[in-house]
Amino acid sequence: MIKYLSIKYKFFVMASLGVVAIVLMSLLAQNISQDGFTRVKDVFEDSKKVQNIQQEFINPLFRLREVTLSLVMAPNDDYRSKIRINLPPLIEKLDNGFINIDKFMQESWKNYKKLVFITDSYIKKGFEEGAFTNANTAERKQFYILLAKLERLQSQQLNNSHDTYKKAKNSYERKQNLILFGALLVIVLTLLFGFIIAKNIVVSIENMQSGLGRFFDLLGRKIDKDEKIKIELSSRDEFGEMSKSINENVEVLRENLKKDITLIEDATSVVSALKKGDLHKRLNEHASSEELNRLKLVMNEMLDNLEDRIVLEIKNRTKQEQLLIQQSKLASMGKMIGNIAHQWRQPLSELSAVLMNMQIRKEHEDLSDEELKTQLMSVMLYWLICQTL
Amino acid sequence: LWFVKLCLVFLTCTYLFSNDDIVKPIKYISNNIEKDLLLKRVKSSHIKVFIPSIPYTYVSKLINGTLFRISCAPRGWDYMMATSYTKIDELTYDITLRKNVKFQDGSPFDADIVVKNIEAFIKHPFTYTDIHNRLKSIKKLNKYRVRFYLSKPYGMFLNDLARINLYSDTYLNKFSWSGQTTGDNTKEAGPYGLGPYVLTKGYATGRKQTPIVELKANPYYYEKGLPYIENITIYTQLKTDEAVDMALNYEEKLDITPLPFNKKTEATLSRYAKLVTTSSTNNIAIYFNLMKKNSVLKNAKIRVALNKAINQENLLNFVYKKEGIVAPTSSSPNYNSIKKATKNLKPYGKGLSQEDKKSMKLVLNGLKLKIITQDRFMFLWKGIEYQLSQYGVGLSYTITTSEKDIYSYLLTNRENPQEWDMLTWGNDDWYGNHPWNTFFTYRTSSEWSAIDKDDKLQSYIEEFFSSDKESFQSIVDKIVHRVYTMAYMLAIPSPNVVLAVNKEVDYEPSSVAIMPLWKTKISKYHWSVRKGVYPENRELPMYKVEK
Repeated sequence: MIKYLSIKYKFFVMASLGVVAIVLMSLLAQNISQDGFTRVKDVFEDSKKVQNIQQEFINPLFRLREVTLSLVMAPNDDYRSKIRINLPPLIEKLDNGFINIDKFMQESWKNYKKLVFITDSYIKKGFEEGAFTNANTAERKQFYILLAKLERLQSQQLNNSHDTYKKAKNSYERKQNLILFGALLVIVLTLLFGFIIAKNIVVSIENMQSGLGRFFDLLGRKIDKDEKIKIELSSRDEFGEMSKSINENVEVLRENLKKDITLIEDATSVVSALKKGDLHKRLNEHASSEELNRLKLVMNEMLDNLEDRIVLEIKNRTKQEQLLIQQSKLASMGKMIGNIAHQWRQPLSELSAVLMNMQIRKEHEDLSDEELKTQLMSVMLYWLICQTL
Repeated sequence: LWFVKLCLVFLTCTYLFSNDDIVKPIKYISNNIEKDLLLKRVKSSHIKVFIPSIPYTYVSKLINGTLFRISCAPRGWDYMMATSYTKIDELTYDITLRKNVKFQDGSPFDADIVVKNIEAFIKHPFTYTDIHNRLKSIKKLNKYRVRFYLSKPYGMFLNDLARINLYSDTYLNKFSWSGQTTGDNTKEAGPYGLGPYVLTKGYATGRKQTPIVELKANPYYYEKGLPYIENITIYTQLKTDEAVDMALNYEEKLDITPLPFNKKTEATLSRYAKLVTTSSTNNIAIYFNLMKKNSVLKNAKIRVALNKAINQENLLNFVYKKEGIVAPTSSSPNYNSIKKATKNLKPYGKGLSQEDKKSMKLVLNGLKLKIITQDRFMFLWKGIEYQLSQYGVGLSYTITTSEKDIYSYLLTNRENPQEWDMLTWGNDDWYGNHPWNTFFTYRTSSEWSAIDKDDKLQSYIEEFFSSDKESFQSIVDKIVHRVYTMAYMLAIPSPNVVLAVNKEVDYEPSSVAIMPLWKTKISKYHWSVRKGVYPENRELPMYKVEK
């Protein structure tokens, strides 16, 4: 699958993986925050209930107890009338509060209220001893029973709050594990995909490197010109396209090279024949290079002219002179052909150097794609230079 | 059987579904014992009473007859052995006697025995009023009518007659009258009086008394059907805590006892006793000893400062537990005349400024005072001590359980000045709704006073003796203002009568110093007449009884 993707898409896939991971992580983090907020809200609500019991029941109940005891202890009715003012609002507040609480609690509250009224009625009747006794026996006992019930309720609410907190903690821990797992998964997937993609790219580069090396070896005559040189890349990415192009060019180059070599060999044969005095031999092969073909034409024309002139000279001069002249001309032509060959080999050497440079840098993993393209362009340039010679 | 089963099921269900969280208030029973009262005297009927203050007076009122009997009525007396009187003029009174009355020994009561008693009294009168200076003679008009002659007008004459016991001929022949500081009281057990009870064991004469006095119903008592109770045991010198314990925690040990105010709640919760209260004209007299040589209390400034240091409202609320009334002087404002006289007098300690308190502290700081008191007043002294300590006054106590010891410190003081600085005496209203009850302690010629000298006050007291209805209030005003200005005593609230009374005893306390035990009834559940155990429902706490 990967091999069908271009490098940019491979990089896009890798980047997408990161983005997806970040998005997933963000969503998870958001979920955790949302969940945490909900849990904290629940804990707050439960704590509020605990506080509510304290504020709405326990505190007013203590206040009521204090007011009742103050009534009992008050030295005279002047103080008592001032203290008694506090009773109705407190009782009303507690009445309203206890409406929403369970029946047993309500019964305890009603009985406590009744006992408070008994204490107050004793005070109003002047039976202070009865008021004192009631406040410190039945009323006191009922007060502590009611208080214990409220404290139990408060404790239950506190436990609820604790449970909610515990749930929130567990949820947080689960989410934390999920994040860790997710992060790990993303890392593994990223590494896997990265590895696959990198491996794919590296394999392509290595194949490219190997193919180009062989190609340069071909150019450098280190291998036989008929030996098969092909960069084996199945990927359809830029490297695949590049290798395909290189392979095609290598074949063309090989054919051209073959033709040129044949031409040169033909030329050498012609020259050899010329050296031997065979002036009838001509360059018949066709090179890939226009310059060589032009050279062939020139040579053939030259040979025609030479033959004609030799025939003519032979005719006009002595056979020896004709021979010397013939030898001298052939020597000059051999020198010229050497120069031409030298001129042709120069770009090929450069081409070889560029390819070797590519190979070495690839081996040292010091070859970026951009530079690879640049180097390939250099290769193409030298190739063109060679073609122009 | 099915009914029993049904009951069992009901009881089981009631138990199972009962709510333990519902607390029931303490149930109080009311003092509704009328239907169970014994209206006829039962031979075994018996009550036990503790009388810590002036027991001789209380005992005397139970065993002796007088022409008039002190009472809480506005005039201060009711008829007893007299049935009417006529004021002939300022110096002559005719009194009609009750007929068909016998002494406890069966001897007749008539004008002869009255004359004999009064003549004996004139020879050896008590001196705590002024009758000894004003009663000149008595004359028999007929068998049941006598005439009294005074040497000077005497507004307190009828009240004084309520203090003169009428003894039988046998007693007079044996002991006659002997005027004493605490009055003349029956010196030995025997059927010598006309009162509802016969003294059968012990005696109480004031300076001397036995710890226990036994009384038995007088079969010749003139009020038909009375008394309702056959036997009375009177304790005269129990420790307060002991008396409270006996009354509240045991059924048969003590039926009536004065209660320290801080024990009221215990009384309402008692299984056997109930709390009974009533307002009174009783007083707690706290003397300053001006007889003591070089006493700092001779300085009126210090006496006033000490009085100002007492916050009576606080004492009343926190020490008296509201059982009393604020009193600007040592006389109870429950006396109508005192109420009028003190109308414009505020208690010393009321409305003091910071400046006042500073100047009081300068006067009082470092003062050390020696206190004589009965243990029954220690709850009061703790309150006073706290208040005085705010001004740097220190107190040291000599505590006794018996009033006779108090008398030994008080009544010898004028003759041989004592070292005490302040002395407490339970001055119950022995004179019967009349301010003389406290005024007599201002009379410098009397052993009852600890004032060294005040001629102005003495002249007011002389005027008081001769006052009539019109002049009475103005002279009371003068005396009250004088003693207030001079701060001769430490003024504290006047107390109510607060008693623990057996639930099965129907006793109505008087606001004056008389215990109407002859009218007291017991119920069929009383320990002295009951057979079997005390009913459980009677052991429930009882509502306070306010008379």
